[in-house]
Amino acid sequence: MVELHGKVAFVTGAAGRKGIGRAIAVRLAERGASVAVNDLRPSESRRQGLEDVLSEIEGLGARSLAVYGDIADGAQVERMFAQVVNHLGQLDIMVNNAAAPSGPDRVPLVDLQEEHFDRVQRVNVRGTYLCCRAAARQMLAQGEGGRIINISSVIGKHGVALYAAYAASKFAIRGLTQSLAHELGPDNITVNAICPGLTESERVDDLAHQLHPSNIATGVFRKEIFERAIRESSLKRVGKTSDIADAAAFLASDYASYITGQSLVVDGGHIMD
Amino acid sequence: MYNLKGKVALVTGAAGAAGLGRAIALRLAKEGADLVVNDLHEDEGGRSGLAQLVRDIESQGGPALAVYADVSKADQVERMVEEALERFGRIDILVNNAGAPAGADRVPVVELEEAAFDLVLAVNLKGTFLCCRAVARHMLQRGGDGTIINISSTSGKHGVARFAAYCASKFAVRGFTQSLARELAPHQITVYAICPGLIASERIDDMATVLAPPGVAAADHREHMIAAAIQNSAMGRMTEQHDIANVAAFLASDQSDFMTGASLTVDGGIHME
Repeated sequence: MVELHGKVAFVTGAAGRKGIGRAIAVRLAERGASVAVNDLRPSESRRQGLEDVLSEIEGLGARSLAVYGDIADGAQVERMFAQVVNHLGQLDIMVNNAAAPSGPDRVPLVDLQEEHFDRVQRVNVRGTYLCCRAAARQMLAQGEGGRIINISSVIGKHGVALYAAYAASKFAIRGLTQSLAHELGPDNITVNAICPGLTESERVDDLAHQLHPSNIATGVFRKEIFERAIRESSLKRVGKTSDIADAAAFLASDYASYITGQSLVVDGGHIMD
Repeated sequence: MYNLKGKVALVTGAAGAAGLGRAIALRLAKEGADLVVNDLHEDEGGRSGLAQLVRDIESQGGPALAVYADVSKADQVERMVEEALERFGRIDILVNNAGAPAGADRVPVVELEEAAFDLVLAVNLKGTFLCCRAVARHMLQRGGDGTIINISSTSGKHGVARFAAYCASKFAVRGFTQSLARELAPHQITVYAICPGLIASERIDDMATVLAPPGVAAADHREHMIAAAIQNSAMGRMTEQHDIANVAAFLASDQSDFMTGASLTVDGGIHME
């Protein structure tokens, strides 16, 4: 297994019980890293998972810390990074996973409200920017390199209908990733994006709830989303959060020390680029 | 470490003393795999050769077998696979690394001779096809499961002047990779391409000789090529053999499975995808 002993990681948006953030945090801890995890606030409806993640990480014998806060708020980001460094001593691996929940932004562009568009950009783009900036400042100050991993999406490579705000935000994350990779390369800090395809997490449930046509029940529609994704993938299954966690652990490791600025597609062999 | 214990890997084009094939073979052996290594014939052009590589793998503690074969000849490829199976009983990992040496093909297209073009395509593309076909047949026959890694290039994603034959072959390898990934996915066989940047191997000496402008010594042009590669890379250094070998180890493991069909750029952040 790739070894991350002595490293400190920070994963945002990690409270989802079946979420990608949680899987990544646990995987990095399994590899030996100390892991700080973030989400918006404790015990938000149905998202009571951060305490749970914390105990799972500590059960692996790794040090951990929960930091609550809004990644799109500059002052809160400053505070959270100070907490991580104060408690865990340093920061080596930053995983920007937090994203706006799917909501009223998943509509045709002609119907898309400004505030809904803004909300998606605020979390996905501004939040990623602020956390990248804070992480980069910390890593530069330490002077020992580092890893930044931003979670984009296959929709960050190819736009789809009803996803204008989301696609724009996920494309933006890839652009930010590339620019930052150029800036931080000389300091041995790599910056990469992962582009998951449909991955079995709470987000799919939200999506199905949000997008199901009035004549199709949520559960039936969810099944249709899955069946389409399975059909399109070469491996004939949807993504598991562990698939994404494996890719993240690789990018965080020495094995990937010369990969920077890349957007790795992890979608079971659908878009292939 | 990515645990490849019990796996058998076949790496083509592994005789170069400073070559990529050698580095990949040594890395896969270090991760626990048994190795079959191939090249055209022993000690070609002052290379240290396969015999030395076999000794080096054995001194790391793993078994290794050298098989000489021209990957562009179907009968020789089939014999190579048979010899590998006779010795080890199975092949789990195929790395198509063999490439035509840089030569008379590195000229403007208007001056490119058919024979020079054909040689590049014969080794780089047809050789990849023949090895993939022979090994995929074996993998299917024993019930599936396996990994194929094709070495493409950043010139397999972006065309370069005076590299038309090479670029065509390396683009072709990526197209081939994607088709094969879709065909073999139902059998749990994953297929990837790696796109390395410029590596300081024997190949760059050949390239400098062919590409040096009139009046410029090959050695000076070599330095110029290296300086340009370093300047263009975000990481501020050239691609090294071990950078690619590390990524090959990840792809050879089961932790990359959901990325099947991908072409991974490993160039320190020159081309970002």
